[in-house]
Amino acid sequence: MASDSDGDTIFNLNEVDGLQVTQDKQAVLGGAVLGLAQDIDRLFAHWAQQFGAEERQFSPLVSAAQLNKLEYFKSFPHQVMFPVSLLPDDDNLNAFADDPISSDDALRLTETSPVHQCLAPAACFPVYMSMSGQDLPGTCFVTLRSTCFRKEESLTPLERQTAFTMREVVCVGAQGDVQEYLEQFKQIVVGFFERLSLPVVLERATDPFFNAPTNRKYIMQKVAPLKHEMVYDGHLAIGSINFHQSSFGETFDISCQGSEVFSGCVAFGIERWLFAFLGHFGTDTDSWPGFEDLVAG
Amino acid sequence: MPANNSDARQVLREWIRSKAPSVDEATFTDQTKIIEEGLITSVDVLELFLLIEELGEIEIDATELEPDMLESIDRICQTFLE
Repeated sequence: MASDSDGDTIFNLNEVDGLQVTQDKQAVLGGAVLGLAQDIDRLFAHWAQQFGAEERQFSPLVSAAQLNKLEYFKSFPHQVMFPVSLLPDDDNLNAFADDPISSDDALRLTETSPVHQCLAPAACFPVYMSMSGQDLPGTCFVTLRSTCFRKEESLTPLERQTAFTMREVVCVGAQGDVQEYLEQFKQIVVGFFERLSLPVVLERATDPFFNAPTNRKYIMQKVAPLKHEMVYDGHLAIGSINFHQSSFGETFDISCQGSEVFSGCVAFGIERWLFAFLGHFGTDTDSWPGFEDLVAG
Repeated sequence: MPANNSDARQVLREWIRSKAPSVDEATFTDQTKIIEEGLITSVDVLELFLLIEELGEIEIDATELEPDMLESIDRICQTFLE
């Protein structure tokens, strides 16, 4: 069952064509619902094209040293996840192979190798990392889709998963260009929600920082309109619009035509968009909008 | 003793100039949106907090912050220093 903000059932996951749920509450997409997810992602790519965004694809593994430069571990130690491997020592590997899993299905890890990477917690970080030390010839736009990973306290298929799919459209360049881009994207998504009568509103938001009151980035988000979330049905953030100021540029020594560089991103959680569409249009595939309906207007 | 409003404004102006040396003096006023226009960034915000606490001899609880409280010198003074 999938519920709204009042806890009332709005659709039955079992009735969605092609949707399965694994034991660890991950959604498996096939059939019609996979087609809908692909159409939704094509919609985002369509919007990205309007800004001439270059499509790129990155590894879902992100350098721990680079994330540390962003103070990510100070801000989100409760969410970050790691790809861990075993120390390649025969005794260590044999010990693991002999008794790999406990009765509650948790791995019994033996000694592990040093961990230098993290599972990508957001799609856009590798974009800034890839520009490290560069002087950009002008404002640039990049779009990418990645599987992202975050440790969550409770899991709900489509709504809150450990692994989920994020599409982002990123702008890096002159301050005015970045701010104009974010304003234009706000108008695009608000117009879209109104046209389809989707109950989604833009709200100012903060990220779920660890030890939030002492974190300068949290304080900044509290007092400045840096982050807006697209909130469905009053409770589920299905996307966000973020102005980073010059923080990524300073962290990764990026400039634009010799001047300070700014950045902003628009992020969409594809599984959450599916949830919103299923909640709004229902599980009958005939009532779902097609791609042409999505991009019309 | 807390700085008087006029002194506090002057201290804030000088502090912002030190963070944004290229600020356009012709358009920089107490109504300038210092965060929105990129004069200060998240790197500076804790330092600004400490400065406001020092000027007003107050303690600020970050959890009770409201949007736009640091929008401009005018807003900072109205919120924390008057």
